[in-house]
Amino acid sequence: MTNRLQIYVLIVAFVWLLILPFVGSRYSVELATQILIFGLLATSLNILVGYLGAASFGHAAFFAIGGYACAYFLTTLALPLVVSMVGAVLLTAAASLVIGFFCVRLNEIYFSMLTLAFSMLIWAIALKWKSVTGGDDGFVGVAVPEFLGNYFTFFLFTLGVVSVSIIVLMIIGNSTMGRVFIAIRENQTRASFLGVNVRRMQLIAFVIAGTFAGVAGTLLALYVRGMYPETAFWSQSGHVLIMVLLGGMHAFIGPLLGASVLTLLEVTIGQYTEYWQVFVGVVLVIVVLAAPEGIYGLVRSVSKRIGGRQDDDA
Amino acid sequence: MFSNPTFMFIQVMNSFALGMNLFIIAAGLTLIFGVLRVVNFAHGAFYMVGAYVLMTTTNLIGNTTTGFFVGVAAAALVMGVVAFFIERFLLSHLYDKEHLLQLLFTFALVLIFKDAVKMIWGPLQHSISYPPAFKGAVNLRISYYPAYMLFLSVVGPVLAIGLWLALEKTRWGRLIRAARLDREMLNALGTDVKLVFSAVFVFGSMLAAMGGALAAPRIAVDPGMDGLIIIDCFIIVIIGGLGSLWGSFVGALILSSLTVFGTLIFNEWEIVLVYIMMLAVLLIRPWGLFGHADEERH
Amino acid sequence: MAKSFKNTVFATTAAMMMASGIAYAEETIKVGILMPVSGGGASYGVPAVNGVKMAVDEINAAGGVNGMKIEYFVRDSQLKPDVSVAAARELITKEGVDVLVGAVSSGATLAISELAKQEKIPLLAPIAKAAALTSSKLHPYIFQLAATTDSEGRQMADALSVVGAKKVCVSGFDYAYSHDLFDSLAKNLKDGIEIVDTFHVKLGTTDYSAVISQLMGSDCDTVAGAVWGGGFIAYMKQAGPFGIFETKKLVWGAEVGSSEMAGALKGDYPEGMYAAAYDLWYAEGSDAHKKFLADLAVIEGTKETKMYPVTTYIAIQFIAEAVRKAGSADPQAIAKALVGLSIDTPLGTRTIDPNNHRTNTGEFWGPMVTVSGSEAKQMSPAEYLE
Repeated sequence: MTNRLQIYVLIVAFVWLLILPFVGSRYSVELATQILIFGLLATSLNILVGYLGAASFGHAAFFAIGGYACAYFLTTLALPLVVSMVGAVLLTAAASLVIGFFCVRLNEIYFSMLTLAFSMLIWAIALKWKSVTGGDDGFVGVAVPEFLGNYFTFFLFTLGVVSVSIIVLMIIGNSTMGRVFIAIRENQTRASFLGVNVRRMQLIAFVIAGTFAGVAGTLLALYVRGMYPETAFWSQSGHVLIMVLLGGMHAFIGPLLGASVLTLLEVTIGQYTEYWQVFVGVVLVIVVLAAPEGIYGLVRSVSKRIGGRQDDDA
Repeated sequence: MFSNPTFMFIQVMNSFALGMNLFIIAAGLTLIFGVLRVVNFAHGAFYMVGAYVLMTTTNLIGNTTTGFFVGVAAAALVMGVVAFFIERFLLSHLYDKEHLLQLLFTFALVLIFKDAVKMIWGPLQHSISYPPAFKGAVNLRISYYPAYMLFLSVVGPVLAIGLWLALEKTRWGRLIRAARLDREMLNALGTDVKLVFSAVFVFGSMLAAMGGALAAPRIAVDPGMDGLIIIDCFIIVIIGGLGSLWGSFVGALILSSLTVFGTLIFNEWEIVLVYIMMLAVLLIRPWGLFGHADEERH
Repeated sequence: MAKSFKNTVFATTAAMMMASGIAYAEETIKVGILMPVSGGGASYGVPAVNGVKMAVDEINAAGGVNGMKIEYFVRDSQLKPDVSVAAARELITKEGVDVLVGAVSSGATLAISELAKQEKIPLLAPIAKAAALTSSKLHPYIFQLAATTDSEGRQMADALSVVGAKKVCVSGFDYAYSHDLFDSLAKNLKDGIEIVDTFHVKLGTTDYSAVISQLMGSDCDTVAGAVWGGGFIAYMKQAGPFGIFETKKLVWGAEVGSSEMAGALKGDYPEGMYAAAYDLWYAEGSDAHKKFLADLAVIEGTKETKMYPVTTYIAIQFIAEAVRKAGSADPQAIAKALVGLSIDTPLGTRTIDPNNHRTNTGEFWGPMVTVSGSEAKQMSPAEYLE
């Protein structure tokens, strides 16, 4: 799923993002921050969707758990940033272990529906557990540390956290473990004949995905300076899934591409018309019909046709 | 409160009427899933279209009982035609591709329909009056009860039996059941599977629109009415068993009872109860109360 | 890339111009509008945007404020707090707005308010009523132009006295607004009126039958409600056949006395229900109000104008006056000028309280009754209460 081309793209993107805050407008930096957070969320989901072949309809649950936990630790308990973030991510990991334990027992649509049910349960709890989450008013006013108070440092901080996370996810994807995930996606029965403990591997993938969604969640809480129940709602999970599929689930950088394109599309069209939804919808229909492998697949097939070069795609 | 038999009776009636309305909508979703294996997130949007078409019809020909029934039929018809084009020209190209692409496609439909509805009917909230014949209340001896709720309580079971008979006794029904079990086999037998798929998608969408039209007099019609109904439908078909007609019937009754009695007993935590129920079914009997275990593997 | 470069150049040029103190005639006051214009929130957001458009057109036609034209940018807040925040950031950083107006839901407004505080950009909240906005979360840049649950609870208590209630059931969506409102109501009750039962429903639900049956079983003589919007329509539609309107008096907050609600429900609107509205197209008011309604009728294409435009119209009026007073469109100057500011609106004089940044926003209250020549019920007599 990762090849040399993708690594080049990632390096170029990273360098460009590193320069961006020095040359770009504040708006472009803010937008890039948002894209990075959702890019990480989508990439984490792709461990399940693209690698393992398990479509989670409830990934936003872990996004929300990470965010709420970070907000709570940082603000209500007044813990230091590092402790809050690490604590929130550990908590999300624990939550994804428990939820994953149940979810990986089911396959296909039943897996999807179970993840959906869990995420709606998390949503309902976020809505009702007022003393911790702030209920329907949301967790307003996260105590963001002074040094992250401006867009410039916050962007660099986000870039750092997201880059490290993406590298870790890429290493996992390219490791033996990642290949086992793919083997399970290709053929679960064969994988288990080969001695793979399928359920355990699925649970590991689930926890990895959930944990990194939690990382993205902590960044969201800091960026928005608040957390709101809508973050756990099914439409948010759907939104992330759209990013993954739009970019291309069979390429490591697909979800990053998807997050960038969808965010830019929504923001740009929203500046011109209140009917942005129909535009985004039509674009998605076109992608589904014309580019079933997502934007990455489209770019690849076009470049192949032009260059005629074969890549070592795994 | 619970010792008052009249009160309890009314609540049971409430659950039943609400459940029947939900059943009509969910039946369409379960039928489409059972045959096409497509999780149609746009089902809620189709439901919304049904309500709006009813509104336009009653505005045009007057809010009479006839107007209402014509409107319900028009809702189903209009949605059926739209669904036909969606299936024939778009969705049918996705059957042999990745399952998730179908999902992405239905997500896209949700976005398009939400804006289309706003473009055609405007952003405001509307209300459609009850059809004159079911406007007031009926004297049930122990209490008065809304006529429209009784109407829903009759329509639901009638439709359920009608659907069941159609599935059991007609040639089309047999084809649909066969498609649900083994589509390759059906193909081998020389049946045009494409046609069966098309028909099922159209019919399932018509049920959504009809459910929306029937729900409309009790609620507000606005461009956001598709939001929660789709989750309700998912809960129903999961509880009842994906693809099972009677499953969705029972699932709808369980959901509506949880909604009504959950509100009474748990008040604000009722919202959590519903999802716990869905989780419990998925964990204990993932194929649902009326589904078959082997369907899990499809 | 090219675009962001252009933005940078533009921003730098603008900064240089400001620094050199040259006031160009084409300099504008930029206002960011965050309203839900898609989905279920569009029924509030779209009329609210009309109010903005009308005020801006009027002010610009009259030559602007101190020679500066007002320019506004609308973004879809989708009733979602995180989307609202992202949109507000875009408005601030890309369009460079000097002031924000929004949103509808309390959650989204609280979220933007947090950003406004951090960015030092004034936010005028014309619709959200959450008391927290200007109590526990008060800061120098938030101004709540909507009625608050404090004043609404007081008015509701008065209305209960007027209708002669004794035992009251309260019923609302189970969330912050209803809880705050009924807390305020309980504090203001008089004439021996007491709340005997509370029947809440979950936010956004479409089925009210369980709660209605509970209401039927309660021995309260009056229902004080706070379910709003589409929920109110569903509530009334489902309550009607149970005969509840014949056995209990109804006093309803949450601006359901609007012509939108009356126009949607028509004959199904309960006769005699005591309700409230920010604005009524048929209300007898000042000449300024008449002119406002006549102009709005042109924009909306009907004389039965909606209720929300006036809220955002007044918000723009406040902004214009603040800029006039401050002598500049600098966000911090606007925020300072807004404190204690008093203006003449179509609905009388409004003043921003320097202590809590709230205004003396009133509402029309009265019984909704059938009038000849109209399918929709109207409030008559309508009394304007502050």
